[in-house]
Amino acid sequence: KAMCSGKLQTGLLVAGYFVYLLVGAAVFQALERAAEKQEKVAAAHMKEAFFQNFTHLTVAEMEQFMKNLTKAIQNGVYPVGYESQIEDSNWDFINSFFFAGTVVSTIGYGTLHPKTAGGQIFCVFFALFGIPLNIVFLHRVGKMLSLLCKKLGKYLYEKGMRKKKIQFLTLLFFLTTGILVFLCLPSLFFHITEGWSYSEGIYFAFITLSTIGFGDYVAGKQPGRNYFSYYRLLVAIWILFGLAWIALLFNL
Amino acid sequence: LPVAAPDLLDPKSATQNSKPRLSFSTKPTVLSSREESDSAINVMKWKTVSTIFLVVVVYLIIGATVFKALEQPHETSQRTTIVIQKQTFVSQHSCVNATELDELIQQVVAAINAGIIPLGNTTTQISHWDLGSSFFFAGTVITTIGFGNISPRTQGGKIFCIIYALLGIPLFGFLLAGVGDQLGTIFGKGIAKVEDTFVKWNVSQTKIRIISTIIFILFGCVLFVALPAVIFKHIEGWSTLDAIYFVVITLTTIGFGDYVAGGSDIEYLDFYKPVVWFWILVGLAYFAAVLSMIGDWLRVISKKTKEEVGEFRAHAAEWTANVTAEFKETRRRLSVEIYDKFQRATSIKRKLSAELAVNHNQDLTPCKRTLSVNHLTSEKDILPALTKTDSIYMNGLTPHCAAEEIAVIENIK
Repeated sequence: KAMCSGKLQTGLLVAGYFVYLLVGAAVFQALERAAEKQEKVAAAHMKEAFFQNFTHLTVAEMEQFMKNLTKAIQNGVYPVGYESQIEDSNWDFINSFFFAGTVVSTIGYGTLHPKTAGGQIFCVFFALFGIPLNIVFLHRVGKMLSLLCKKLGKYLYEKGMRKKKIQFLTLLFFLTTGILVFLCLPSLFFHITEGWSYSEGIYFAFITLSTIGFGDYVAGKQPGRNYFSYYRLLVAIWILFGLAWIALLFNL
Repeated sequence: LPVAAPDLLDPKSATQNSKPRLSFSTKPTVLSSREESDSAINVMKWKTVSTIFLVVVVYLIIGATVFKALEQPHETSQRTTIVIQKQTFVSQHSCVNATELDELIQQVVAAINAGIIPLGNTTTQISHWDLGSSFFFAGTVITTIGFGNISPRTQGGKIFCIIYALLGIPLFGFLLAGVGDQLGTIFGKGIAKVEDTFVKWNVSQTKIRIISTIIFILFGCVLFVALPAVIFKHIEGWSTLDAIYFVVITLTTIGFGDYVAGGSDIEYLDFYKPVVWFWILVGLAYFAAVLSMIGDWLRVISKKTKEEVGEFRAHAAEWTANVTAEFKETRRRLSVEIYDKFQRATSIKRKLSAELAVNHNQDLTPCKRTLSVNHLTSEKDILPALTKTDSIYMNGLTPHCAAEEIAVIENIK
């Protein structure tokens, strides 16, 4: 009987999952499709305009050049200008360190990814061992932070509050402080350093801390912007503590 | 007993305490025990956390150096190639100057970031937001894979994405736990039969466990990694390595987006994408089990190391205690001997002084001598007591001093 109910539960969950996906699909489509069409038209116009200015270019030459460009850009190169790009590597130590971090935290932005066979193989093994390591670490940090929570709870309990109220209040407290510190404040910060709007900043913060990590927004990666020296380090610390906060929330 | 599996899906899961056991390691570890907030335990936890933190940092540093060594050369060659291609283009088409070309390139970059490849007729390209692809996208959100080859560009899309994820990720977490449970039961039934036959052959328990773990890994690898990789290689046209790489990066939910099944402009069969989705669902449960197993191993290794370190510490403490005890014994014997000698010496002196009526040599202060023997301990404890006896010995002898001396020696650790 227990097995039956277990299977039924799973079946319901699977059904629920698919329904949720369908609903999401419909809404995303409704929201995004029109904008996509506009951008496609813009891309076509861009090519046309370029042609009109330089009429002796053939389509084939243009397409070939575009192909080369696309390949370079998809490989993470920003081919504007000539000299400056050669110096800043995407795979210098700091960037590689951050890349290793995105693998181990499973955020996986994708703006940087291994292209060599050796890099891909190493990435696979690096992830298989690094992800559990990271999870164990976050679990520990979450537990430690939850001890703080308990101390707060104890203090309130001694003041005579009921347990349920304490639980609710501590949850609320950590939720609101966390949202302020890990979502709202960073988005203000990113507004200044990256030039994103506040909503873009919150979107980036959320997508990063949930480890979805699309890669459409990545801190410290805009070409042509001057970041102060310890910017990426600060961002890494923010991500670390943000993930630990989420681990704490799940422990509560 | 619902035992908490390691928080593998944390922070990707919502179930906290009663997650199904997904791994097949030796003993279940209960993780969410409610401990007292003892200050000693706090210190211990802080030490563990900082140790693990250091390990993680070292692991990242190692990864960074290896990635850098592997990838940088390729990147450099990419860069030089595109520079040459640009220069060739400009020289071949002298009407285009470098600035105009850079402007075009910036526009191309923007288009690619928006998910549009500016090759051919862009307007006739397959939409990334038709129902099938949007479904796919919604899936990448709630599984937190987040490929990123498509992402919302409108304000509304982003806001909805956040809300959708907030609700969807826990939902998916529950689902994953349920699927994992079912998988575990199915596998468990199958492996039980195998284990029974092994028991008949009188194989030891640990060997059986190891064998069942190996079977689990092999079976799962074939079903969820190798087979799909072959299918992807065939349909998407990737190399074998790329296909396996895609499988691992997807099922660990890293999701770079450099390879995406169903993301290229190929004519896919109708049922291809739904099957891919089903594979992701079950494959994620399998990978969750594998990763939690690796986590268990890490924990066992760290526990064993802790035990060994603990044993080592215990041995060291025992050894130190033995040595100290022996040392104390020796000191005691020494000081008793010294005391005896002094007794004799002083009695002789008494006789002599009685005969000669001369004052004692003030150098003979046995308490100072014992002080020299007891250098090891803090002098603060010794000095007050000894100054008292010191003065007494200066004048003459009292039987009290000897007793005090022994008391002082015994007080010294």
